[in-house]
Amino acid sequence: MNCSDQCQVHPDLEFYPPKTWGLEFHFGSYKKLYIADIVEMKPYPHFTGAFAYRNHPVYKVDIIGTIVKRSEQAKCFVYAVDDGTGVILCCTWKDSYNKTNTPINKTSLPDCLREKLISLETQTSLQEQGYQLGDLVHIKGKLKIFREKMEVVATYHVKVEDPNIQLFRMNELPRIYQQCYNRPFQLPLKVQQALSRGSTRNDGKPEQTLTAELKTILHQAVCNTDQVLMTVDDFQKYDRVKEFLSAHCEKSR
Amino acid sequence: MDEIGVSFGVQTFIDEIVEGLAINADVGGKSVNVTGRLSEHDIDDCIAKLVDPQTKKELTINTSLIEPFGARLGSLFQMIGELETSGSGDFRTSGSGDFRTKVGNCVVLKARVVRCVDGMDLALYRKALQLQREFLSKKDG
Repeated sequence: MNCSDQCQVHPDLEFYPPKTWGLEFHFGSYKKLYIADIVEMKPYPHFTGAFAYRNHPVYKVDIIGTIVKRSEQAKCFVYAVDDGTGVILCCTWKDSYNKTNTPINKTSLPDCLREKLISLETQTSLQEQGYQLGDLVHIKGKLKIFREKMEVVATYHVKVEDPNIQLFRMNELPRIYQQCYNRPFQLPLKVQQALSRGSTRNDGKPEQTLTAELKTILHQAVCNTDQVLMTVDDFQKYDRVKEFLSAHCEKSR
Repeated sequence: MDEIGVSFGVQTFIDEIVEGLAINADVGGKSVNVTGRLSEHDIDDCIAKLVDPQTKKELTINTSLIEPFGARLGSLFQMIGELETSGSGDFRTSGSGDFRTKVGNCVVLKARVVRCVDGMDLALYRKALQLQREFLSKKDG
């Protein structure tokens, strides 16, 4: 089931199919990585949308850094974020939600509510201006390759006022790397056994090849008939399909 | 890095830049990120001076790209930019005495990004940066 031949960078590491990724206990979390590592990550073999740090599938990241470049476009801001190890582009979409708001008559409100409203309005207007050069920002988002460059599409972004937050992150990262990311991603023993049992049953062929083979057989079957609607039972009547299923499945009947 | 148009500023202490100059290391063109207290600022000539509060070493800053930046003397600033060695290279190599006065003339940081970092714990910064460097060098090596 492995596809380690696909990746030359870490030939000793095993790369697993997407259906087992959920077994990595920090798979769904935003991974805190150095920007230098994010920029160098290669797409995970056999799957788009995820990238490989060693053999960990990574698709969401969490970074803290200084904005060193900004450009505003009609629908988004694009920032270059620098954490001292690398620079990466971050795209934050503008929130067009607030623009449909109708103006509220402030004079009819009690004082405390009016203050709150004004503070909220200044907050949104600040957000619309985006961040300035030099701001320390905390960004979480999904990774994407845009024009052949790695980019973070932000799902959460905030300006950090306290400069010590960055220091805490610098302190934290080596420990997280040692405890999580630098250890290879290994499937539990039972899952490995189950996967290897499955692969011997399939004559060692990976799932992708089997799917492709079955697809061509089914395609031929569909081409040779005039029937428009077909059910699974109809397909199983064909000899080649029957043959295929009995060869590759434990109990096709 | 070239496609983005900016290179990352390596977090560096001012004393390291000064020491680098003292041993004649080529620091020109390097992107760095330095932190220090603003001790002098001349808005007309776009020149400022940052002093490391712990080691008292100074670095001259060319602020022409970042003016105006709310420069308050005594505040802590973090600046990212490129180091430029001015044309007095022979002066530097011939110098054998007190480097500190001469270094101020030799290397200038052309800052492109500035941020006020008042309240930053400098002892923690030093510790965190050493930890990060140690880890990264181990990782690459």
